Amino acid sequence: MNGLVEILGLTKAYDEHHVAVSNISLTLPRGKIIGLLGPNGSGKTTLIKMLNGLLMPTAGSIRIGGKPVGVETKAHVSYLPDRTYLSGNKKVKQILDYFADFYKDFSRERAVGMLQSLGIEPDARMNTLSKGTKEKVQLILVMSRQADLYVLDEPIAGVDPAARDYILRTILNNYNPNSSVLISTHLIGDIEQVLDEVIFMRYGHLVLYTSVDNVREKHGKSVDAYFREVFAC
Amino acid sequence: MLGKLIKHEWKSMYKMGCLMLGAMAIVTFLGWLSFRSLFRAMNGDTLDPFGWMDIFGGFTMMIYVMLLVCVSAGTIIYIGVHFYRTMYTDEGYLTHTLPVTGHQILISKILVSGLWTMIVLLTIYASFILLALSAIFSLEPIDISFAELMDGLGRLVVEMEAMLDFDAMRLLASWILITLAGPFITTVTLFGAISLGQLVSRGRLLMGVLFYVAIMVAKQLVTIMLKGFASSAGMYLNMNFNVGFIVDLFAAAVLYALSYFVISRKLNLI
Amino acid sequence: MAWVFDDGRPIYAQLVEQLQLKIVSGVYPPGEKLPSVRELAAEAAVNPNTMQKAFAELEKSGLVITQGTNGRVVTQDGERIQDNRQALARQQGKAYFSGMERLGYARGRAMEFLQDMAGEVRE
Repeated sequence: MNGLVEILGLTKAYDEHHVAVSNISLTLPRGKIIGLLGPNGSGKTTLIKMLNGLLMPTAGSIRIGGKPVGVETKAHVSYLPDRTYLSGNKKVKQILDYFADFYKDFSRERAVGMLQSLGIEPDARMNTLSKGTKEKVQLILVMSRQADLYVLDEPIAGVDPAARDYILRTILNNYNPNSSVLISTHLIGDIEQVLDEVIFMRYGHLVLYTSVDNVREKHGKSVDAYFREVFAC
Repeated sequence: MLGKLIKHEWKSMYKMGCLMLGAMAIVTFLGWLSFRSLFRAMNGDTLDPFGWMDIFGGFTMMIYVMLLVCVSAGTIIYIGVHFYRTMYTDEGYLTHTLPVTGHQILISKILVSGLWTMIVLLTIYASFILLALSAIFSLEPIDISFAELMDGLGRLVVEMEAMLDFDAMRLLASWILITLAGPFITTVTLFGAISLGQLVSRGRLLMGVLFYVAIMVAKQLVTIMLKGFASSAGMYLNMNFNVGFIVDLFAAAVLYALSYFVISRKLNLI
Repeated sequence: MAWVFDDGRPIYAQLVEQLQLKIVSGVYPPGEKLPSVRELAAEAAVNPNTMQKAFAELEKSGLVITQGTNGRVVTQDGERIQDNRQALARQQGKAYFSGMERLGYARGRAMEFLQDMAGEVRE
């Protein structure tokens, strides 16, 4: 069986001196929760943008579910960017309408349920919500889709521990064997135990792609500790 | 999907559009007040309850024109900012990950924004016509029927045709064409300029504005050159269409293609 | 509450230990139906695949039995549970002696110390 995501010789060069992603080849299977790890500026976000069609590769190819990045893959990839991408003067329920209209795999009941459990009013306007609440609304929208691939860019950066637990639980509750979750982060310790596999990136290169238990077994330390050792300057 | 895009685009713009229409109504009312006082003053009617406004007569006329310009400019600026915000800022992360094509995104935005530009343009016409009518009725308050008015206008047109040697019907036709197509051409040009601004690494919005100014100037120059060429070649009088309109149309086509190129090949949201 | 794990050892191995402990201590009594992998993974805040792996390990040791569509139950084989309890106890014992050895206690002294401690702890 083919992988869910097949990346071949992927390169993104902004100019001659600035190569953000350099010749990466990877195959991501279905049914896994995968950490995309690396220090700031290692090319994680560039890779993620290319997976979502927000950047065109300079060279190489990406196939998701066997198809090149485009309208069809966008219908099956649920993306949480590292910023607020919702218009401030919209109400939460208007954004639900928006998602329901464009994404066939969006479950409004699921989203409403999650909003309710967090006590977020569907009538609230986005710009009246706190930054943390806005992030939760986005996560709820993204996780309420029944996508093949979830791409979460730094979902736990700058959130309090309770919110982090909520995010991790939401990801785990949503787990299904046909879809995979790709989570980029530089805070590995916090999410290590929910990950199956980890991808290490540095200076745009793929350093390592292996399972969490593999690292622990082989190196006798947590992925977090191993990561610090590998990337120590 | 195009239908859904248009629906949501309309939803996110109609409030601002209605605000512009409200502004137009207020501006027109102010213009009417100033016209009224201007012409009443000429007729020596001092019993007018708005008589105290006479001193503002000339002044408010100027303000009327200025406000009209402001509302039109405001509409264009709002449309430009809305496009920039939803395409090339954080909101672009949502816009460009929707399962739709680049053409669908562009077309939905051009249709809705163009339509609003047209609506505002039509209200400007309406405002002029209202004021013209009010001026006519102020000058000749003795009963004059609508039929007589239209008859008078018709005679005026015929006289002018004879005097200036032009075809009023053709002028009207091209004017309608420009009214219908112009707003969309303006929108495409604006969107194209803003998209071109994305190709630089810094100060993209500012560059977009500069591109817009540059495109407008370039279009003027090309139009003037073509007209000069046409008249020296003795073709000018035989031209069926306004040269400027053709240049606009051509520029719009090129800018649409450029916008599509930017969002499909060169997208690089900060 | 999420379960606590130490660094340096595979998480699935630690899950196996913690589940064994829950079974021998009677949190999950013999014959009891166990929560689903998904539920337990959510409770422990670990990856469902890891939990699955831990269950597979427990099945191999015979402590947990899969009953078709019914899900998984704890074995009713008291002997097997007893064996497991013993194995866990042995681990504890080993850990105690090796820890004491590092502190400089010989076997005999460690034994005595343990005896004394037992008296104190009882109170």
